[in-house]
Amino acid sequence: MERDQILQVVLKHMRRNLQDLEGREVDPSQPMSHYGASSLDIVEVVNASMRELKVRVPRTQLAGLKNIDGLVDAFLRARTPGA
Amino acid sequence: MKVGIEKLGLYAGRLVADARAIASARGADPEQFRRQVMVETRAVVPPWEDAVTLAVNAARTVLTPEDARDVELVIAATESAPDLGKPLSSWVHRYCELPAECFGFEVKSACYAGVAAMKAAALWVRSGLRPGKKALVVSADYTWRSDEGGVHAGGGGCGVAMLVSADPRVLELELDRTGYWASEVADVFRPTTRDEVTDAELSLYAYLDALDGAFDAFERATGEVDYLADFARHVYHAPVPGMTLLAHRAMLARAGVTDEDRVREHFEASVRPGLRLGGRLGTAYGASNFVSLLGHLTGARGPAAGDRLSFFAYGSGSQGEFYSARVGPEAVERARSLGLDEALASRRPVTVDDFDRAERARDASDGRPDYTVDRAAVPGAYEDQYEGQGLLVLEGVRQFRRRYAWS
Repeated sequence: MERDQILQVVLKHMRRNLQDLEGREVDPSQPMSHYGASSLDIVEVVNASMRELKVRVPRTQLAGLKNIDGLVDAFLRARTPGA
Repeated sequence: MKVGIEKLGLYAGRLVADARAIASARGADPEQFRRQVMVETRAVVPPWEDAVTLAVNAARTVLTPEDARDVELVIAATESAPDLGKPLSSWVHRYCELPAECFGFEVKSACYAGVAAMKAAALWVRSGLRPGKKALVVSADYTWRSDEGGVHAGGGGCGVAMLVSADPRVLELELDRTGYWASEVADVFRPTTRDEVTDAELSLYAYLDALDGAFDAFERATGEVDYLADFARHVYHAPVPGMTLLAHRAMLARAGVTDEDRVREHFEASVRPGLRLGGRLGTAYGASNFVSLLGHLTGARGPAAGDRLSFFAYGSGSQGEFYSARVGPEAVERARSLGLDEALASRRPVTVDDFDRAERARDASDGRPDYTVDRAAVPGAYEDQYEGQGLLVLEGVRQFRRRYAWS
């Protein structure tokens, strides 16, 4: 799966879970909190993305990522073992 | 041999604060807080209460002198202990007037401690070495030290107490139907007697990893589980009640249910009823599983005797356990006889300012060798809610020795 496809999955779940993202451009170099996501929101977006992408990785490895790009990179690494 | 909870009581304190008002005072959206965190009001633990008083006041809602005579084991679970060496169980032993022929200890394991204590007691009863003898298990905690930003909207404090025996009229444990998950992580911890360090995001991730891992282990122990059919209700550890929706959604996804409407419907039927008390208390720490159990039992439509419930317990640091248990023959009746809704409704409201001031007063004296508790720290509260009520209260500390009295 291309990196951009992973990003689109994450953005889709962000729009489903966060209010006021309708029609707004999301900058993936920003953290989710920049768009008003609480800890519960972030974890739900991550969970939903993991389910859709069929990624199995200890979630604790996803804590403290700097921004949305960091999450996408983590999912990409999980889906391409050895990369 | 049947083993489990014969009696279960909850002491939520006598004072309450509007959690949404606190959220608003901290610059958060109160409606979003209510909807997502699912807390309306939270307990206020005044300076004359601590883990000892919460534990003893909970025990005294259920323990009779006859019960006390049968107790040979007392386990106190807490992460809010007033002393690093002297166990909380020692004060519980004294103020519950337990027999001298008794053994007791304190358990510390973040929010897992209450379930750990219950399990240890149940296994002791199950051993059959002391027929007829019972265990008193208490779990008591409160939010420690407000940070510079003031008290937390989702914080709380309470005590639960249970009699564990071979006569499980409230909850019959299925000791062979359990799965564990242990993994070291620094998500939430109390490195000093006054500081609580929280990495909320990391903790939620650790919780969900533990839920996955513990349930995997549960299925290895019991065989394949039909998650929607096998359990009448579900109880998930609730650092805040809103977390249980994330947990339940994750478990339903494992069972192949991802349609959000169906998830919500199932959540409303099988999880939400358990949150009815927690939403008025705030965080219950190690008592969480038991607060949720009481929520299910005291609701308009309680589970039936014999119904199987699932429980997920989680403690930061971390430890998870997924276990099942059956509703006892007198569970609903005993839970309703506690009068919990009336007790919660009769609490005295405390303003955000008074609460902040009381917490600063506690912070100023905690850990000092000599102080007298200021009953005026929350104006009017002691006279209104404690005076003449026969509750255990902390009077003060002299040369580090804690002095308690009956109010």
